[in-house]
Amino acid sequence: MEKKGELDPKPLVDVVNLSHQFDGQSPIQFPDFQCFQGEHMMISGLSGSGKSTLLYLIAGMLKVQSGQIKVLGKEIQNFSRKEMDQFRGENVGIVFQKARFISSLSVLENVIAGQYFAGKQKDSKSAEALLKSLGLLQMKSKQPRDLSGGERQRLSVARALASQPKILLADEPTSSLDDQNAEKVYNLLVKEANAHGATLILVSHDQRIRSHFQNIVSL
Amino acid sequence: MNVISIGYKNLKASGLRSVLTLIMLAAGVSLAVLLSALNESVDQGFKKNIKGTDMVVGAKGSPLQLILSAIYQIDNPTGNISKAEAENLAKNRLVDRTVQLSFGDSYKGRKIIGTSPEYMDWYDVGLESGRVWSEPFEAVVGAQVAAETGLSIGSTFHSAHGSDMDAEVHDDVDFKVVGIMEHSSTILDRVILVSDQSIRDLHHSEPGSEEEITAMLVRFKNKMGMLSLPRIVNEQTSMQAALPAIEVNRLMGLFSVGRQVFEIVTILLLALGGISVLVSMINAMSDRAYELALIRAMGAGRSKLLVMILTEAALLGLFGAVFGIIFGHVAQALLKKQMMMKYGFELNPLDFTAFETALILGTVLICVLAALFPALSASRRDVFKTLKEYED
Repeated sequence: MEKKGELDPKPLVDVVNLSHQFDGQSPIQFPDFQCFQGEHMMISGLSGSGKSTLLYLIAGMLKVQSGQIKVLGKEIQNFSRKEMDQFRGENVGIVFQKARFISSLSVLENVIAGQYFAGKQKDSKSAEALLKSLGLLQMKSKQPRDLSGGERQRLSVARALASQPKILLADEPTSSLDDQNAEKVYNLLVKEANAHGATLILVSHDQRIRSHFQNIVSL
Repeated sequence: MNVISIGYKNLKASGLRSVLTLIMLAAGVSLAVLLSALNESVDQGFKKNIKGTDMVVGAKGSPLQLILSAIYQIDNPTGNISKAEAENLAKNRLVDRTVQLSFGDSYKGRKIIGTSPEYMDWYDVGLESGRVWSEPFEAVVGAQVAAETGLSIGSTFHSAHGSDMDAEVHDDVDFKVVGIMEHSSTILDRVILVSDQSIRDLHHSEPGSEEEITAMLVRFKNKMGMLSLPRIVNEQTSMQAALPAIEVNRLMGLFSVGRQVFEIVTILLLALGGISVLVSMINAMSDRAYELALIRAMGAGRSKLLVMILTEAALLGLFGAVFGIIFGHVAQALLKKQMMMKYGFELNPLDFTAFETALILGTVLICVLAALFPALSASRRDVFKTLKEYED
């Protein structure tokens, strides 16, 4: 694993001695790793290897049972649930495997919801700018269900970036796509993460995009 | 964007389910509104017409019947009493004022009352036009009678014996309208007043026979009258004394079973509304489990989720209550005319009461309480599990 810490000597994410056990299952031991700002990373592994678990642990949506995760220098295992929610809203954006939205809200409102629920200032101008950069501005008043699959994928990226997170987590964003679209989505994530100053941590078993990453954690 | 606008959009998006719950809530609330307005109207109607009448004397019989016939003109009289005996009572030092009433005839279902112009003073009712009666067979008609029968100054009509629409008509004599009373929302709106001489002439009382009247309204000088006069009348005369305040309370007591049934139905409807909110919210929470987990993932805490869901329920309650109040008032507007015509009770569909404000708050509270359990369980649901469940 290559490290280049010129941008910020402190790692963005620092995982030490982490393990997790679900009820009635054998524990998953995660390798130690660090991820630095601007250094996009892929967490790869077969299904069932605990990739998603690791992502949800980093996002603070699963309680750390043993070991240590430092995000932006903070030991998140010590956070209360409330502090964790706040911290996640503040610093983390997530692109989920399936692009799903709040169905009662329009495209633009879903992006603004990304700001609102993260506890950030609601700003429809920046939300529109985000939609524009993703080619969705003309769709802003539509309902998410009226968008095509590709548009929905882009909207979920817009929503994740709406709160201006430092970390962009993506959970298997390409697995269900054909080669061409997988490549497109990968490029989109990297481009948008760069444009918004976010570091991408992508969880996937998709071998097709593996070659794009220098920074890979294998489970 | 805030919890209120999101709650509203969620309600809108849930379509039929919200509509059904709204209908339940609105039905309960509108029934409560209508019930309270009818109660108020009946109470007011009875109280307004008691005004200044401390005691009614008439022939022996049911005291309630005497009150209903002499004050409200909604029952048949108990019989006749001697005019001399009544006048003797009127001289008692505890009596302030009296007014004599002779009735038993009608025109198109409207009671004709033989009395003196003091009867109009009794209720502080003046004339809209014309003058009071002075000669036999001159009549002054109530505002509502004039409006409904088309009688106007100068019109003539025949009276009929009894109060039925198809009663025997005295077609040998014509009454002539000389005045029309102003609208007062009292019993005077619905009656025709003539001199008591006219009534006697109508029934061809033999000259020299004892003069009779039907009833006499009595106003006491002070509370002492209330204590002693009714007993004196009942024990020492052939007449009966009835106290309207007591009889009306007794009548209200008879109604109270019916009122209670309505009250129970109203409470049941509101409770059903609450249950409907509960069911609707449980369904909504399970339908939107993924969305709610998504919102948590975006950084919203449990408490924000809780507030959001409860706000949605509160909005449902608010809309239900507001629609209910609107329907309740529309129903009042529809019933207004009939209530007035049949019973002389007034409904004011444009009056909004403090009870209705309480009803809105109560409905909102019921909805919030009903949504509390689904909201708590939804806000505590495991985010990771929910998201994974829907992705696999």
